[in-house]
Amino acid sequence: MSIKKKAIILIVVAVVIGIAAVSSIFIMNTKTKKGSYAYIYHNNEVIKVVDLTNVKEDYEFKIEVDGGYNLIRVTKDGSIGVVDASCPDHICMNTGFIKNGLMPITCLPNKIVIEVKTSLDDGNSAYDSVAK
Amino acid sequence: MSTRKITLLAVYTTIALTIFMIESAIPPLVPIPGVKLGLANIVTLFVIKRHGIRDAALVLFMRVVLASIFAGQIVSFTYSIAGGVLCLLVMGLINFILRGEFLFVTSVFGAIAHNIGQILAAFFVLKMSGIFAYIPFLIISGIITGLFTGLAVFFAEKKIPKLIL
Amino acid sequence: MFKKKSCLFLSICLILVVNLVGCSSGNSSHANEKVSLSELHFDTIMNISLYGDNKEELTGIIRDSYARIDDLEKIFSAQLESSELYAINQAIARGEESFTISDELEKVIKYGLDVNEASNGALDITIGNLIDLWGIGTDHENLPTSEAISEALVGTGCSYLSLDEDNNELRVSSRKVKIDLGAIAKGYAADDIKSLILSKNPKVTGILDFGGNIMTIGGKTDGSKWKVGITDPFDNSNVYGGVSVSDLCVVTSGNYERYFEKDGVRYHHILDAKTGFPAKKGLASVSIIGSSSIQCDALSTACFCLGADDALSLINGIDGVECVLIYENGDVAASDGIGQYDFVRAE
Repeated sequence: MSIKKKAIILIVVAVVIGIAAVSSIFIMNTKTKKGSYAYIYHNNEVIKVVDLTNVKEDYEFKIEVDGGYNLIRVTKDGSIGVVDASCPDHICMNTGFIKNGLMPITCLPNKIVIEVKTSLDDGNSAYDSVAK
Repeated sequence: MSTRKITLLAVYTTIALTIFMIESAIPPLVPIPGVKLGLANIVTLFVIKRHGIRDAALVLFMRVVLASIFAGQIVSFTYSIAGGVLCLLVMGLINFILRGEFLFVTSVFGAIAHNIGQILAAFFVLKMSGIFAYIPFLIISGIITGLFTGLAVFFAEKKIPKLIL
Repeated sequence: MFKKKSCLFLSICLILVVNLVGCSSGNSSHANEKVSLSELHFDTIMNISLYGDNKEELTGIIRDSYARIDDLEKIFSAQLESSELYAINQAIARGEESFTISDELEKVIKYGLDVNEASNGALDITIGNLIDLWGIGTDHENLPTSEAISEALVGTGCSYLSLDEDNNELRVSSRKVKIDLGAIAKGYAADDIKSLILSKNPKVTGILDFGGNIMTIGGKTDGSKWKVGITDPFDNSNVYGGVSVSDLCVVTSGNYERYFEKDGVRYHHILDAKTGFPAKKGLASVSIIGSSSIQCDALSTACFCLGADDALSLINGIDGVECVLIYENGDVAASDGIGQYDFVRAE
C-alpha cells in the first residue's frame, strides 16, 4: 500500500471520529435535562442565580464587573445567553444561548462564568448546605 | 550521546517547556482544571520527525518533569504525562506508517490522543464519570489543534536547517 | 562523559522523586480531604460530601453509600417497577390482602403508621392513588374533578393497614389502598447511610443532601457547626435563613418544591389526606431539625398539613426536635427550643 493510500485511510478515520464527536454533541444536547437555574459566577463566586423555569417574558439585565460589562438575556423558553459585552473577543456572545449543563458560557476578560444547573446546590457560599 | 545532541535536546525541551507555560495561561477549554491544548506537542512531533521516537520521548519526559517542578500542580502533571505519552505513542506509530509524510495527519491523531490521554488521567484523578461527556468537545478541539500543530511543524521543518550531529 | 551523563540522570531522578514525594506527603499532612459526589436516586439529585484523611477511602465509602441507596430504592420506591413496594401495590390492587415484607419495609411502614397516629392523620402513607391522580411533578399533572378525588380518597386511611411485626406480615383490608412512602423514604435512607458511613469510619464528617433533605455527620473540620440554610419559599433560588447544627438533620417541606399553577392558583405536591387537595393551612414551608432524618422527614410533612398552631404543639411536645415555620404571608414562627440552633435570617 502506498503511503498516500495509508494517509487517505487515516484521514477518513479522523473525519469519521470528528463526525461522531459532533453528532454525539447534538444527541447529548437534546437528551440533557433542561436546567432550572443559571448560576452566574464572577471570579468563581456566585453573584447571581437566575430561575430559568418560571420566565414569563424575555428580559435582559446587565452585569458590571471590573470596569467591564455583560448584557445577559433570559428567554421565555428557559435559555440564557450574553447578547452584548465589553470584552474584545466576544467569545461569550458567540457561545450563544444555553439551557442545560452541557457547556457553560464564559467571559474570561470579565471573569464571568454562566452555568446552568438543575438543582439548588452551591447556590450560597455562606451556607454549607441548604434544605429544600 | 554527543554533547551537541544533549544541547540540542535541551534546547528542544526548553522550547517545549516555554510553549507549555504559555499554553497554561490559556484558560482550559473544559471546566476541568489542568486540561491543556497540547501545543507543546509541536516539539514532540518535530523531534520524532528529525531524530526519532526515542529522542522525542526523552524531550517529552524532561519537559514534563521540569514543567511539574515549575508549575507545581501535581494534578496537571498527571494530565500532561498521560496526554504527552499517548500523543507520543500515537504520533510515533502514525509517523512510522506514513514514513514521515503527511505530517498533518500525524499531528491531528497526536492531538486527539493527547486529549484522550488527559481525559483518562482526569478520570483517574477526579473519578467523576461525568467528565467523559467532554470527550466529543476534546476530539474536535484535538482535530483543530492538531491541524495547527501540523502546520507549525511543517513550517519549522522547512525553515529550521537540519543539524549534522 | 559517562560520569556527566549518570550525574545528570541521577539528579533528574532525585528532583523527580523529591517532587512527587514532597507533593504527596504535602497532601496527606492536610488533615482533611474532601470528596463530594452526586448521583440521581429516588427521582432527585443526591449529593454526599465527606471529609476525612484519605481520599480513596472517602470515595469508596461514598460509592458504597450510593450502592446501598440503590438497594433502598428497590424496596421503597413506589415508581420503580422493580421495587418491593411496587409489587405490593400491584398485588393490593388485585385484591390480595396479606403480604410478607422485608425488615426494612416493615420498619418504614411502621414508622409511617406511628406518625400517622401521633399527628392525627396529618401524615398518611396510603395516599398513593391520590398522588397518582394529581400527578404533580409528572407530565400528566392536572386538576382532578371532585368525583375523582372522592374516589381516590376511598382507599385512603391508615386504618386499612395493620402490621404483624413478629411475622413480617402486612395486612391491607382494601384494594383501593396504594402505599406511598415518598414522605419518609429519603429520611430513612439518610439515617441508614449515616450509620453506614460511620460504621466504615467513625471519624468521617460531612453532609448528605438527599434531594434537599440535609443530614450532617459530625461538625466542620475546624470544630464549628455546619451552617445549613432554609430555602426561601417565596424565591427558591434564595436562602431565607439558616441554622447552625452539628450531627443533626434539617428537612423542609414546602409549597414551592413541586407544583403546577392553573388560573392563578398553585397546586403543590403535599396532599392533605383528609381533603384530597394540596394542604392549605397557611404555611409556605416547614423545616424540622432533629437527629433522626426519618422523624424529621415525617414531621415536616405532617406539620405542613396540620397548620401552624397544631404543628407547634406537636413539635414542642417532642423532645430533641425543633421547627421553623414560614407562613404564606411571610411571617415566621419557631418551636421553643430553636435558640440552640442559632436561627438567623439571611441578609
